[in-house]
Amino acid sequence: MEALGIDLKLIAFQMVNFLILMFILKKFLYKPILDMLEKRRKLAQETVSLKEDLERKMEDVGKEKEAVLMEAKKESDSVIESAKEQAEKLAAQIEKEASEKAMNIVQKGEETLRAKEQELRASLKNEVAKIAVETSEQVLAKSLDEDIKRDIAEESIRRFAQNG
Amino acid sequence: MDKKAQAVVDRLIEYASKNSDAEVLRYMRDKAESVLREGVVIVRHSGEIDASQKTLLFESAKKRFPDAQDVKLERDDSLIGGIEIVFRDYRYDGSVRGKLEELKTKLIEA
Repeated sequence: MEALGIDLKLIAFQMVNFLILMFILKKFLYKPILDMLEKRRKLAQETVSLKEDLERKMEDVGKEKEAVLMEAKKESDSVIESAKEQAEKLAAQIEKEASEKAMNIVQKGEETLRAKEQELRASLKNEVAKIAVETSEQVLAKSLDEDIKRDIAEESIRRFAQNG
Repeated sequence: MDKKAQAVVDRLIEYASKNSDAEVLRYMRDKAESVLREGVVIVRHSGEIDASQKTLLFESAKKRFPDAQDVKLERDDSLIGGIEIVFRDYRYDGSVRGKLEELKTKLIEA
């Protein structure tokens, strides 16, 4: 072996050195690096998982938001419809009341007019009768002479004597 | 009727002459006269009444009102024509004015 230039002792020594180096590397370098790599992998996995969870939750929240919005829209539509109905009812009621009030006013006005008309008619009739009688009195007072008065007195006395 | 009552009647007549119409005034006058001239038949006339008319009038009055003490004639030209007889609550209106009043009432009531 020596003739071939191979030194067995050196080879053995080199091998022992290599093994020692391997042991040291494994103990102090590979393992921490691997552990660190494992930790990072786990962290990355967790991050991905968290991201997926977050996305799912975001999606759920989106759906929930949409549902809430839909519900709110339904509710607001219902409220608007109800308010519209109430407003229509109120408007109809106000219109009815206004119409009734207007009718009452018209009726009262007509009644007042009728009463005034009656009053005027009565007053006019009264006045006409009064003027007619007064005029007749004046005309008769001037036109009746003693002979006619005597005749009228005769007729009155005769009627009194007969009937009273 | 005592003086106090007569004063009241006079005031009533005065009030009526200022505030009431002719019909109310005449009614009050008749009422007052029926009290003041109790037992007297008042005959108001417009125009002259001859003797035969007077006789007929007195006889009719005495026949109708046997307890009347007297019949008095009074000229009242406001009657226009005819006669008016008042005795207590009784009133006979045969005057032209009375007929015109009736006509007026009928015209108003028509």
